[in-house]
Amino acid sequence: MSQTQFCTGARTASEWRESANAFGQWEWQGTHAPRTKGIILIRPAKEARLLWPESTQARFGRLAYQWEEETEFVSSSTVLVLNSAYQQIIGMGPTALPLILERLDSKGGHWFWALQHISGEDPISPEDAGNYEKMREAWLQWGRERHYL
Amino acid sequence: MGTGTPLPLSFAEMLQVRAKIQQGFPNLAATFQVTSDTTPKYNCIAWAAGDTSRWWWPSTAYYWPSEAPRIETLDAFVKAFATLGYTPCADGSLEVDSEKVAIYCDMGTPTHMARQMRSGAWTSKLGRSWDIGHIAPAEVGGPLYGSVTLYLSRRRA
Repeated sequence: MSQTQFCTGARTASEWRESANAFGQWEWQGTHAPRTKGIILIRPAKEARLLWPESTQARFGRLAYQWEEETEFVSSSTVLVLNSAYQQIIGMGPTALPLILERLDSKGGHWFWALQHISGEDPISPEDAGNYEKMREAWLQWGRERHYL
Repeated sequence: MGTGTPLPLSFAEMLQVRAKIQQGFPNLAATFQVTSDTTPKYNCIAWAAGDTSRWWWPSTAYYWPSEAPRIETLDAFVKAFATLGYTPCADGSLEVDSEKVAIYCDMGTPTHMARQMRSGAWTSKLGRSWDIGHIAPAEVGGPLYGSVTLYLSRRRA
């Protein structure tokens, strides 16, 4: 299968190659970065080709990386959750739950809205709203109890 | 200026961090300083309020003073900071007896806050990433945060 891929955040050839290769199933074949501007790189590079269908795990990794890159300087929880990559992850449904929880455990991040909307549950006590460590631990405990972790 | 935690960065890493920040904030002067490591525990609003234990935002998932409405409006942010004793003021000039914060808006919606330090310079927490020190409030204005819409001040304790 040969299909162009989408990749975000890369601005130089080396960054493009690094981010493309980071998803495991991608292989950088180009020698220069695609001519794009801005944070969101949506123009597919003809040099980058999908070598085989993207797995759920790879897709999640790509979208999570994109979300983290695009919202690095964002404080607004609304902007965080309306981000296109974040919305696509929510759209993956329950399949994404163990992947999100694993990412929350290993790299952190404000994954709480996605977890709440996919699971339909909210283990965070109202008094802990905004307390990142308690919010994170509440969700990790929730995941352990359901054997997602 | 920051949280007091030394940055665990080599000189080369610091250059990379500075380049990344400058890419996001093209109006930053070269004099800006990176003053903390990254952390998702608090954001710019909390940092402006002097709270490094919580992420402040007027949504149900995050902390917001109960006396202020949970809506993303300038008025809601003014009311939230009124609980800390802040009231609107004319500008961001340095006044010895006053603490000042700046509210940034993009198309009328609050996006960011910065806090003035005793020196007259400003400190900003950039989302979940670094705290920085910058000379003028306008330096972090631009495509991400818009511009300063209102200054608030309170009597310095």
